[in-house]
Amino acid sequence: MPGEIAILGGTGFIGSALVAALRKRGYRLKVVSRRAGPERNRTEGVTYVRGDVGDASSMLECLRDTSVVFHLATGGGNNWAAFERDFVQGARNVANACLAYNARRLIYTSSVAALYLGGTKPVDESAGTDTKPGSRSHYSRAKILAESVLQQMHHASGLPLVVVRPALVAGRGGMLNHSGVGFWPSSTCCTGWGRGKTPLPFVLVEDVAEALVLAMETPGIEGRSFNLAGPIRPSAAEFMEMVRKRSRRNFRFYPQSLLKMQMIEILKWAVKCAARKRDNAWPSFRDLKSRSLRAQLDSTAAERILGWSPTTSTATFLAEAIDSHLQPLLAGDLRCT
Amino acid sequence: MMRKHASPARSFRVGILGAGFISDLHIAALKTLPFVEVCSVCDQASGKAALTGERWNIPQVYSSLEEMLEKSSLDVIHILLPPDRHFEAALACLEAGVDVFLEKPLATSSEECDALLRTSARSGRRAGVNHNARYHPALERLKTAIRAWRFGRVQHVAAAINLPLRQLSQGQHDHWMFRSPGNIVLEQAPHPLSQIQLLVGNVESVSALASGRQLLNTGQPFYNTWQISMVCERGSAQCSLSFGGGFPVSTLQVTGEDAVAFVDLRTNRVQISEQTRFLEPVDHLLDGVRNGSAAMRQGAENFVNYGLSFLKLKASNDPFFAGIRASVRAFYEALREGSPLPVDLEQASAVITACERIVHSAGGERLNYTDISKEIAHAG
Repeated sequence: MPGEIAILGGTGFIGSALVAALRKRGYRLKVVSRRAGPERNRTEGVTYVRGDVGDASSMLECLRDTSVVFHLATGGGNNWAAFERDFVQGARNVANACLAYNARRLIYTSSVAALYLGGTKPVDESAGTDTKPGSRSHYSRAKILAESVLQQMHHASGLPLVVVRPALVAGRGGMLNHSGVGFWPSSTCCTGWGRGKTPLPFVLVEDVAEALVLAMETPGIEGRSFNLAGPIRPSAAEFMEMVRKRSRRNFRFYPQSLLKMQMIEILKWAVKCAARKRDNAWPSFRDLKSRSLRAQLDSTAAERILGWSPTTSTATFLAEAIDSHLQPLLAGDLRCT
Repeated sequence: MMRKHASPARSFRVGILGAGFISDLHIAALKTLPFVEVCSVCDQASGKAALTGERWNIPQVYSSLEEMLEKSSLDVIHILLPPDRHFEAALACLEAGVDVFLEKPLATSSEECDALLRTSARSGRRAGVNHNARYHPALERLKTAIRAWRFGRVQHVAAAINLPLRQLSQGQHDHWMFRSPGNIVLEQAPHPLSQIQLLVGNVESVSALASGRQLLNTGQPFYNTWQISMVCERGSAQCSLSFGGGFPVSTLQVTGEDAVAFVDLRTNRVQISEQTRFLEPVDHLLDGVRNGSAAMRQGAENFVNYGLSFLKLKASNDPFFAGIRASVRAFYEALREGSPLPVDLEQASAVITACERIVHSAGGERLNYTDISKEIAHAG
């Protein structure tokens, strides 16, 4: 049984689900967040503390005497410096605090954005993170480097690290217009990362929370990483059609070849160059290919080692991933006729 | 005398009660239905009834409802009398075992509506109401778009009406709609309120402001501007009504989750803006192009339709008549199939209740003896 458990980013989408899952098991928690402080202390067994992962002293103060740390905090901004501070330096600050207080485990929530999924072969944990972080988006690059910093500290200083990489997280409290499905220029129009025929590695947020709890409770897994994707994997086009039918709203999916998307990105880049916009990086085709999630994500390690069993029920998946975001159709609505 | 109503796909013998202006439109609409025979027309001004009978080749002409009920074997009577006479006439028809189709407003109070509901339930006869504004061709286009899921949930409706009122400007102030300050609401508001009801459900609460008080030549006060905000079952609505001056306006702005529509009922045009897959600057450009060309196309269609019907090359299709024709057709098709009426007594009662709430919110009885809008301004 762990001592105090701290959750960095515990007010976010996955963080909130994790808090609920841990409270269900009776754990007492400390939630560290940039925005929510003690004024939020209304939940039995949960203490809210204001803290910033980018600030080393803040982490040393917030994580004092904690036994288990879940790091789900995110951040970023308009430029690489902001990502570097929040993700890479943030991970380092959290890890140093864990080492300082001799924490039993640090569970870092990374992302499949840290992997390269633009190939054709299935990808499991043995592939490691993308070896070319410089040619990826700020977010992916930040996640790759954060993982790298933490793994180095695990090897060099014995940081008790476990990394989980949730794929397309869906469910209550999240967003229906997930950027993993495609690019959303408006709330109902989605342009696919490609033709939209590839099965997408969806995972429900409750299943991610369950995996995080198992990552805390399972002994002897320090240094390991786990990809998290469920077995129900509609393609982007299929998912959008389900959303359209279930919501009776004007959701539309526009398949688009990656080459065409790249041409458009280059055009945007050129326009920004002409307008002398700052932070205008050459669009990376490698990042675009990885966003298409063409390589099938293998998450059997989590099932095998953690005993994780994500939902296999399509009805549950649809209810949580789609219906939880929809308003009920009221009697008399012309869409009923 | 009443007929038996056995066959599911039956034909109807119909009588017209009230031979005023609107009766011609009802009869013209009925003549387009092959399963309907207009048998009788009745008006207390027997000359008017006779002229209508002659014009439309209607064999039986009466000057009293009792006589028409007694001597004609009718299935349905269209009640096209002034609003304050709807209730008694509808009651008599339902009691006599005849279905009725009433012009709006259904009645002049909730109490009358309740009594009609009870009588209809007891007699087993059905009553429909002509909320023809729900069938305006421009609104039909909007309904098609909503049913095609282009709007998502309709969240808000803003109706605006600025009506030049002939009776007002010509000093015909003895008309029923001028007899009390609230009558104009019962006379004119059912059109936008029936559209609002269709789009966002029954009105649940109201806040209204009446202004533009003037004294009519009868000595009665008249308010020419009404601003109304409403909370409805499935959304919210606003309605502004003004009478007697300015540029004629009859519009609806309908905001949905995924689109917004501007429906111009006067020019019979609909403009829909919806989300696209393009970034804002391109999206806005395309929206302008799309709606500009749609306005041109719809304007040209309306012009050609007018020309063809003027030259009698095509049946009349002006939006007002098209609305009445569709409303009448929908009523008879429901009667024929035994399905729910398109506008039944409950729906029409809800519109009357909304009218009452509007008048009450604007000041109720006090509208008669004080200028409410100035009172509020002073209080503010």
